Amino acid sequence: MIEAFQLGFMQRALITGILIACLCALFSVFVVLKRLSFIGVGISHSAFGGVALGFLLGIDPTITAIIFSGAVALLIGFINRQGRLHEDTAIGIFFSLTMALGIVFIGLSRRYNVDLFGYLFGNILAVTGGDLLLVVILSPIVFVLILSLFKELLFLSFDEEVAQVSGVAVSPVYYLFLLAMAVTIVIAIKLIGIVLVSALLVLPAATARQLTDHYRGLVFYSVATGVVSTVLGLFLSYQLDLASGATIVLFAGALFFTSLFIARLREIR
Amino acid sequence: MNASVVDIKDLWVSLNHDFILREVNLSIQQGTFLGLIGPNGGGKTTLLHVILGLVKPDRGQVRVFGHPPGHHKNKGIIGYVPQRAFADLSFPVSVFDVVLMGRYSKIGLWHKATAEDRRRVLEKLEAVEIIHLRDRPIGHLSGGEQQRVFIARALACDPQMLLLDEPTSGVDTKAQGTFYQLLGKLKEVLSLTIVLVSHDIGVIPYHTDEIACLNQKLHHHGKCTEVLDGKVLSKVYGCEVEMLVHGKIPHRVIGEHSD
Repeated sequence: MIEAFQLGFMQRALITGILIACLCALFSVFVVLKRLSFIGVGISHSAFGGVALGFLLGIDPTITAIIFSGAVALLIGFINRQGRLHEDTAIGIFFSLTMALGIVFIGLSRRYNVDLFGYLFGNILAVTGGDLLLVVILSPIVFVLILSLFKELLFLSFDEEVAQVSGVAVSPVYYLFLLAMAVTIVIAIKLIGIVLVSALLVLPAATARQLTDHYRGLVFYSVATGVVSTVLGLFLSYQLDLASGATIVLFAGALFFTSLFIARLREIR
Repeated sequence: MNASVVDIKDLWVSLNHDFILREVNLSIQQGTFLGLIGPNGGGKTTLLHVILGLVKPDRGQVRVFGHPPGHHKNKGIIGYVPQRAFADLSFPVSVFDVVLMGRYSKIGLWHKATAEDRRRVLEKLEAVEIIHLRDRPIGHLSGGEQQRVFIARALACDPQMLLLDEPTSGVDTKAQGTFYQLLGKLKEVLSLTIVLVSHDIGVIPYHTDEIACLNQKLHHHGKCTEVLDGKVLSKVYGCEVEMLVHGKIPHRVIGEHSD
């Protein structure tokens, strides 16, 4: 295992993987508590439109995807807060529209880029030095942002109405959260892929929820689950030549079912 | 003469193109315990939401502590206990955590709770007599105990007015009695103005100072002794209402039927 991680691309993948896993695990706490798992799916799939636009215009697809997904995340949040459409309807509309736009952009660019598969399914080889730099710069910012909004996010996940009445700035906090989640999803796409990245926003906290009754434990177990499944998933995907994203997600899934089993054992006792 | 803390003049509110509140005029004096009763769908919760600034009126003038509802100067002086069903009770927080949430807006963004905040939380848990439950997960409590947690949370920012929406739903009858006693005590000790919404016309008049009957229109507002009139209640509820009068000799008052 140590041998594998001596390779340059594996080191890049490992560092980005661990940082992204920590971030996704932190978001997953609120995704699970506030029942936002479908938003994760919506934002990640809308990134496809952004990636395709990057290919079409010849700009770094990560940058166009961040702008694209960020806008979609804010739009979904806005529509939801207006109360005219249900959140799941808004997500269903935007994620299919942005996917459709993506397919049109790819067609217009007239080159079926191999890189595209890396974005769809994740590829550890695709993590460049530039990506690593982006993750190293962005993740501390996102991390500090979410930790400093933690108590407000906790309150609005528990009881949004009372949070608003008691004077918590519910809307700005929620929009910042969605924006930070969009950025995290886009930088996670290189490793996990558009199709599966939303799993990393659900599985860690869902696993942790089986093991603890307190939110502090939830954060701890969630981050632990995310990091363990990323490191082991990366290693195994390299050894067996499998898609890195799928292997990481399958590992996280295995940990989830183990946690269900542990919770059941505790109940029986 | 007490100052009025809530002043509502000619209030109209619509939901989905239907008026749920019509020409409501209501003035609540400081230090009053007001029971707001009426049938389901009569607009009781909407009226609370207007006072809290969660619902915008279509027409009319509303002043809460002299400001429009939801004004930033009103933040922290109104405590709100919503209907219990809205909160997710499997949420992984302890009783202490829930009550501390009530102080978050005072603590402010980017800041952490101080020793003073923790002391205030313990003080409120003491006031609602559940300090021994402070480390329990919120989901492990009975309905009555949870209700006390939410009252402590509403009190955590030291409000001047407390608004409660159907606080006794899901609470057993015995616990309801002690619950109203507790509210009366809190009102005196903390000199609170209390507005309590309920559809339970049997219990409310015995514990509140004043009663307002609401079914889209405000049908009556006055001292509790005045309201116990079958005609008013029949008008509010849109059907004949039987009254059970508790006393030395419990007896039933049956309104005259029209046919």
